[in-house]
Amino acid sequence: MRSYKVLIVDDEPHLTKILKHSFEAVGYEVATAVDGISCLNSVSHFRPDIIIMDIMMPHVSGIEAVRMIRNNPDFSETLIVALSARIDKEATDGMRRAGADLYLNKPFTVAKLIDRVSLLLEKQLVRE
Amino acid sequence: MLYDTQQFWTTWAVAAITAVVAVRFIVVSKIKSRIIEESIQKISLLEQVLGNGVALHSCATVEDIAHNLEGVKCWLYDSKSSEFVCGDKHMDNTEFMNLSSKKSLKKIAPIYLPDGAVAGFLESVNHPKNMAQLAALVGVAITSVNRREKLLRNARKIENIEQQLAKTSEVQKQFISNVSHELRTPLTSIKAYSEALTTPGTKADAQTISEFLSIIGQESNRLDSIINNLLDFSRLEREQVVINNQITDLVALVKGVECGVRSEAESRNIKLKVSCSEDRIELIADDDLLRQLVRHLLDNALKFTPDGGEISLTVSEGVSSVRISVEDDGLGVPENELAYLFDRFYQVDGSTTRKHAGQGVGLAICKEVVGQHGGRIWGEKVVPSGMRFNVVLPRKNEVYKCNTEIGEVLCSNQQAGFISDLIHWVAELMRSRVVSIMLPDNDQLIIAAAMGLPENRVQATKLRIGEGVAGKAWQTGKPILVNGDVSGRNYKGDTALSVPLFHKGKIVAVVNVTDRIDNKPFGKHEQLLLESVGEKLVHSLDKIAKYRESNDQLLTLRDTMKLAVAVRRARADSISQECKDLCLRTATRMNLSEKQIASLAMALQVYDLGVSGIPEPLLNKPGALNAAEWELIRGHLQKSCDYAQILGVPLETVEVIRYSHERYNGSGYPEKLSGKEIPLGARLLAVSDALTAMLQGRPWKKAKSLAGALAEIDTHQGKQFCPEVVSNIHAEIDANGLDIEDKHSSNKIMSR
Repeated sequence: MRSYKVLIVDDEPHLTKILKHSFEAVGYEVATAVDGISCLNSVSHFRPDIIIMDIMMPHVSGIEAVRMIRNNPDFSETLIVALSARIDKEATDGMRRAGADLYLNKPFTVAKLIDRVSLLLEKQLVRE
Repeated sequence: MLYDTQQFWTTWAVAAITAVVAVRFIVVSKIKSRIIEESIQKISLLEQVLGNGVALHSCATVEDIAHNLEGVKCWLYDSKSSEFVCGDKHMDNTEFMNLSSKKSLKKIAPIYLPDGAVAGFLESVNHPKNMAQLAALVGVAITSVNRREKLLRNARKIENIEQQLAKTSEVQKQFISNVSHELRTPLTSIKAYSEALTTPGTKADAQTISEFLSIIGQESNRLDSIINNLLDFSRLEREQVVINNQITDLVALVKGVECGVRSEAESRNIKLKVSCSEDRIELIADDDLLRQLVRHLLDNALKFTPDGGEISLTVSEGVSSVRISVEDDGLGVPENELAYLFDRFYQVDGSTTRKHAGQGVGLAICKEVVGQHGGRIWGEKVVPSGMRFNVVLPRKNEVYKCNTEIGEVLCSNQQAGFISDLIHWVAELMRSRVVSIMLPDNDQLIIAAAMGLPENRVQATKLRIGEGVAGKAWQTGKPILVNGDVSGRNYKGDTALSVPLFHKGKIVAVVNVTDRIDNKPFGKHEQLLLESVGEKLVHSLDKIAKYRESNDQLLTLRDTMKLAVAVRRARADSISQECKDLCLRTATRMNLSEKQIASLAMALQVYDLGVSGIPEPLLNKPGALNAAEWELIRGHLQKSCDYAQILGVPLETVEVIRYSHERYNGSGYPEKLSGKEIPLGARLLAVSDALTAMLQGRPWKKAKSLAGALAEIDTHQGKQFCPEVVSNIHAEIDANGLDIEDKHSSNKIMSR
């Protein structure tokens, strides 16, 4: 069985680093991006199974990035987990409307994040 | 025949009566019909008036009312132009008087408002009879329109306040949301790394562990600095930071800060260039706050500059300002976001795009610091890429004028009467004809209030800081006394005195006196007195600022000042002035401190204010006084102390007055102090007062010669007077004399 591909998008280099470390430790193939624009590039080249997306990023925000990804028919089914320190309704609703599958608040437990990600991937597998 | 005659008469009588009744009936019915007619007319008029009234009441504006009146011109009074206005026609007061004197030709009716004010008048074109009623209705309608407008205005005001509150609470919500985001971000990393290290079964080598620990450390520091910045910012914003102004060398300061960030710049291969136009650039500022300012500017540049980039910091000086610029070659900020750079976090639009990665409150702190120093900060894009932040700070951190409460009071027309009283009181105390108070206006001093100077001179006078006597007093912060013709300026009497005034430790104004009434030069004593008066002046101005709303306090102060001026004028003569001089000279001879001399000088000016409360007949009563009368006389002392306190004289002065009637042997009042328990100033004042009284003479006692008066004082030394003071007074008179006309020799007796 091939390993799942996860794309981590966050402008905090320390955070992407530890997430990469943790996901790789449990057998994922990981790519990272630091903002919305480089994320769009990675999506088409790396073709991830799941994207972990921050909201507050320079230039193109997480919400806009999700909207753009969803607008592309190739990636309309790609799983997206929003991960943000923003807890206000505007951010959570914005992400949901843009088409994120799950919204998690920062700070979070890495183990729990990995659990939720694998759960989402299994569900999708069943659906397919 | 008799019958016939009777019948004839009867017939005639009946006919006559019938005729009379008929005539009366006709007359009465005519009258009745007229009354009815008039009534009907009145009713129709009333209907018309009421109809008008109803129409008037539905008018939205006063102009509409005027418009709604048919056959009547409505002239409304416009208080701005002091004219009556009807449509586009104007009528001034003279024309109105002409019109109202021609009452017979044209009928006019004034429109009164319920408070009795005249709102205007109606002018009839075709003489309607109901003018007065109509005018009354118009008055009522105008009142109701005004009331409605006032209500609407208030409603709008409330609406505005509501909107502002809503906006404020929105900003607050946004702020809290942003702060929480900012705090959660480093916390997320700390949690994730510690989890990675503590999860059982984690396979991590020693190098990874130490790397993770170091990241946890970095992120903790970041969290710490965010919290500190937040606290700094909130303190600055609430102006809880005490600005500690001092001469600061910006070059040294900038180099110090640069050292602090050099290691981070080097680790990221960023070139950090610092250039200063001079070796030393000084300004008056709070160096701790400036250090924070420069640090935040550099931190901000470091955040935006990519690794291997370049940051340049430039410090230069202008004539009256210094400039700090920090330029980076990062991505810069979109034009439309420049205005929001200095808002804490991304407070304005709450968008989800991170504008300035982790910018936090750094620039917001910069803005506060710069603001508190009276400077300006702005950011601009540089070509081809990057940002430049510029700070301009005034070298002298002194933009006073109306920025101080004292300045505001001095400049306000509202308090003009009060200020004038205040200045007259200073003039009386200083025995000066010319008094002025100067305030700074940018780099110059201007006259804010004055007496004895022509208006054009008040307007034209402008002194550079350091220029002239007042300018020097401002520059040095020290009183300056000038005697003789100085630098071509001819001070009347060739004597001038300038004393800086301080409020809360800051120099706020300069008070100048020239032109002495007795044409004598000012001396050290006058200087000390003016310093003391200056404190009092600031105290009074402070009071005006404080009690601007409630007048009672001010009226008391003002009345007391007027009283003080009146008492001084009434009691001023050469003898009392000489005795006061002698008293101060003796004080100097006895080595009293400057502070003691100043309070004695002030005491000499106010110690007898309470005398004004003693009834004239009692004051002039010859012979012995009864107990009740003594009580009254003694009461004046407490009164003098009360007045002195209202005037805000220093506590030491009040003490000198309070104990001026104590006797050396303990038989005086109010506390029966004796010997050295009595303050030296009070002991001096006692002798001076007695000497004045004896030389002037009193209704019940002839004036004495100087020798006689001194002999009298000698006999009371050790009993009433302090021997030490008496011997020093002798010594002072022996050394410098006493310039008084001997009233005894002219055999003049004060009138009874």
